[in-house]
Amino acid sequence: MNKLWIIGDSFLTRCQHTQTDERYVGDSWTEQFAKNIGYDPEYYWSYGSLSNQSILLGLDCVYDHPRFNINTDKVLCGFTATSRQIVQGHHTAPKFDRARGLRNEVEGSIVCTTFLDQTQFPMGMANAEKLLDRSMLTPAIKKLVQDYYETLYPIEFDEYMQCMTIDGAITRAKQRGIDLIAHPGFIDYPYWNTDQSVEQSFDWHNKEIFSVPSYNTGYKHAVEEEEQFRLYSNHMSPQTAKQYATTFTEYYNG
Amino acid sequence: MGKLWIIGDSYFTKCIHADQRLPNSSWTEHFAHNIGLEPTHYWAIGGTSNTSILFGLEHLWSHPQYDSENDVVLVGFTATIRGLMRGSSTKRFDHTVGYANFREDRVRHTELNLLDMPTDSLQEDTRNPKNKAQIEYYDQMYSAEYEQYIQHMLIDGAIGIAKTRGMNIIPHAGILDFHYWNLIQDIFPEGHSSKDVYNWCHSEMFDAPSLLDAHHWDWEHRLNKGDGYNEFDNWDINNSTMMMYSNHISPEAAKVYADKYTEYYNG
Repeated sequence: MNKLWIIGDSFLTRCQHTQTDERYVGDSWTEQFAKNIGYDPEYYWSYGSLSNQSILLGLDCVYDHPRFNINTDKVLCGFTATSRQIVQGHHTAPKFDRARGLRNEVEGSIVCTTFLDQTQFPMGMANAEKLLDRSMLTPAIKKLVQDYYETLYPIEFDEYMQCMTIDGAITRAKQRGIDLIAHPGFIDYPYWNTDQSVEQSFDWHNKEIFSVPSYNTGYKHAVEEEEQFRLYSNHMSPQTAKQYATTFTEYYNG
Repeated sequence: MGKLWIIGDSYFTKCIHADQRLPNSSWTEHFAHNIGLEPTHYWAIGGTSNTSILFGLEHLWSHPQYDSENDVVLVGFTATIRGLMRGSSTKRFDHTVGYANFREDRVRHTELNLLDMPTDSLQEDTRNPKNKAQIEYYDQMYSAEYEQYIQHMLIDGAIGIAKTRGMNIIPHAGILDFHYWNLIQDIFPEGHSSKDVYNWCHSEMFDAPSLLDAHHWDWEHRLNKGDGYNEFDNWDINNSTMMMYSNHISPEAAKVYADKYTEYYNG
């Protein structure tokens, strides 16, 4: 069977209960969507808290994957909050090299920081610092991350450049002949981006990603969304995932 | 007459020598005239970064005088060590106001070279907390190899977007691939060019005559004139031909390079 290569953050992972560790095989929205369109899901580059930069590295690397068949396979690529960043990893790790693909992150050549990400949650800075403590960064770099975001980081400009990078990468993928299904994922969630929708913060060429049904459509109530966010590794109960997969398949089939 | 909109770093600016403007002495002006277009130095700024250059490229679409039917855009790239940081203005970056973001210091250019500053000036500089944070950022957080990769991907994507939107674009590698400014040889000893290392969709700019050709012409010319300075073997930034001209190329070499580039462009 042809493959649906999946790239993205936690929303594009399989489903597991965060408290009981029970795995819900075949019940994530991505698995159900793959089934709906007759493809075999291939979780190539989907991990919780990935940054857009990492997701784009995955999209660039899938093209060279020996099992990726550009003539028959599809790629589902879901983006995430622009507040996540890549910084230099351990000095002892090998230097970043595109050809090493995901090993760049696994071996700590580059590290994703969700510092800015977390500051936008209601829990605020204290939680951000706590999460920073759990990261792979050294104490000195943790301090620098904080200083950097407080004094130097041009948040709106970075968001603008990320949009340009994503828009360009979608164009590149299409020009290379990849059958790409681009999904905005969390990129446009109001509490994770800056003042306005990222749809307005850049003059998008691939505007169609903003017509994709939002994850929000799967949840009946805000409280349900919050609960599911907490209880499931990919933030959707199997029931919600089924509903969302159906909605997304209908959209996809046009 | 259609316009040649020019976007890039110092190599794409007009020529100034000893505080004197030298009209029609830059290679970009010669090239524009060679292909029958009026040169318009729209976003050509010394020390600018690739991100700023691509911002200029994107912003050009909304310029009231830009005519996508008749105009051509020459966009030249620069060293990946350059970037942008937050400026001192309390106003936030806003892509709709274009160059005003720099004029008002909403964002400002930075360069990894800051780390190479002499000790005295570094100490002076670190008195400013912002500069200290900047130096520490580059020293500790900045992954030069990763940044180089993502900038190449960004550039390739932006060229792709411009083309699919119908812009008549001439991408130019500029100093993107200059060996002393890129990291390719450090990272990939067998790689000689960014072209060979990354998966480019739009790699044609690497096949164009390099600006190094213009430098070599200047260096050879100076060597032949016999003032005793040999830039091939003993390059010194303070005594270099490159530093005598604001766009780093003498008017004579600019003409030679422009003609060569025109020949390449005309196929």
